[in-house]
Amino acid sequence: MPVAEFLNNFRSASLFLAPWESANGAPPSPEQLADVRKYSALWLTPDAVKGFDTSVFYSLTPEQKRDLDADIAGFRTIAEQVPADQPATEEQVIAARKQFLAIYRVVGRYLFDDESLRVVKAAKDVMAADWFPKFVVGFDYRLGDDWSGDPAVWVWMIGTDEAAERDQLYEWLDPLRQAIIERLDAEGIGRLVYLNFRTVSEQREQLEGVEE
Amino acid sequence: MNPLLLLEQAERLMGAGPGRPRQADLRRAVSAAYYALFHLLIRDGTRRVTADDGLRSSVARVYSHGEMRAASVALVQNTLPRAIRSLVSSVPDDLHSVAQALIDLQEDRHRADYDLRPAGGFTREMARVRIRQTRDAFVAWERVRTDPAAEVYLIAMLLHQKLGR
Repeated sequence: MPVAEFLNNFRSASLFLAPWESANGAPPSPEQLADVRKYSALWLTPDAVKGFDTSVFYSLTPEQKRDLDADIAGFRTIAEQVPADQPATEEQVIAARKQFLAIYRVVGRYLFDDESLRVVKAAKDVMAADWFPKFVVGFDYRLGDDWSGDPAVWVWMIGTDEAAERDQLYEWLDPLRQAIIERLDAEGIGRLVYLNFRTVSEQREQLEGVEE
Repeated sequence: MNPLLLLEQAERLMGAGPGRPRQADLRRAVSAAYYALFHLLIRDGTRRVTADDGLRSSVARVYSHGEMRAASVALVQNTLPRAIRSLVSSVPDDLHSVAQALIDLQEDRHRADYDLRPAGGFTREMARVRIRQTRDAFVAWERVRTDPAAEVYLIAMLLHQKLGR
């Protein structure tokens, strides 16, 4: 299902661009921009918009569909110029971010329901804590039922490849799980939490599709 | 079945062959790690019930994945059935780690064996974390297995449903 792939990938990518914090037009801080650029592999990739098809967005006017198509094409053009193994340039980030946010303003409502937004808030609150490890640079999540049918949330904290090489991620499994459970409780999310890690490279591979 | 051999198999699969492990290896590694912990707990549980080898293998077949999971979730969430809750004044950290590992591994094992969509795939780090968790659970279990709370946990995994809420 290409559209499901698009929504899933675009949602994952948007978690790293934090559009809900800056979609109101406020420019990102220099620190935000630096991070967005440093980890551009996680969002500034053609895979972020893979499977996009305007025709399934029935409620859009022809003019909105035309604009959305143009923004998707513009984003894809920039993304295709960014080498997979290097960060994007500042100019590429600024231009692509503008188009990404334009896409987000149209399709964002299909990506995050109320519960998802509370999960995102909980994860972001944990990441904002003073003690939070700097080598964990983002997160991804999924809501669903686990194998036994219980409501669950899967959270993947995204660590740098260097931290994984140094074996630094695993020791944070329990502290991060505890912090996330507490924040999710505070947000009224009563789902069982499954926590794990991915590296930046692995997160990128998730967008590309896992190699068998 | 020696549970430790399953854990060693999982660790071997993570490092086997040139280059990075393939999806098939990662999935088998996670599955083997789960069964390592599963058999470790069942082995100790059946030893508590009977000293007879023949009877032990019969009792082992009574354990179910679902009931072991339910007991583990109840333990980490402090919602053990009322009939046995008062027997656990506090859950030792080691026991909590073992129960949490069982919950995590069981979910991932199910995905490893049955969810073959690309989106259900494992990464090397995800599998590595679960195998480290299993190794730590083995160590934690060795420390806590004679604690009275561990005894309650083993019984709860066998009888959780029958004990009710």
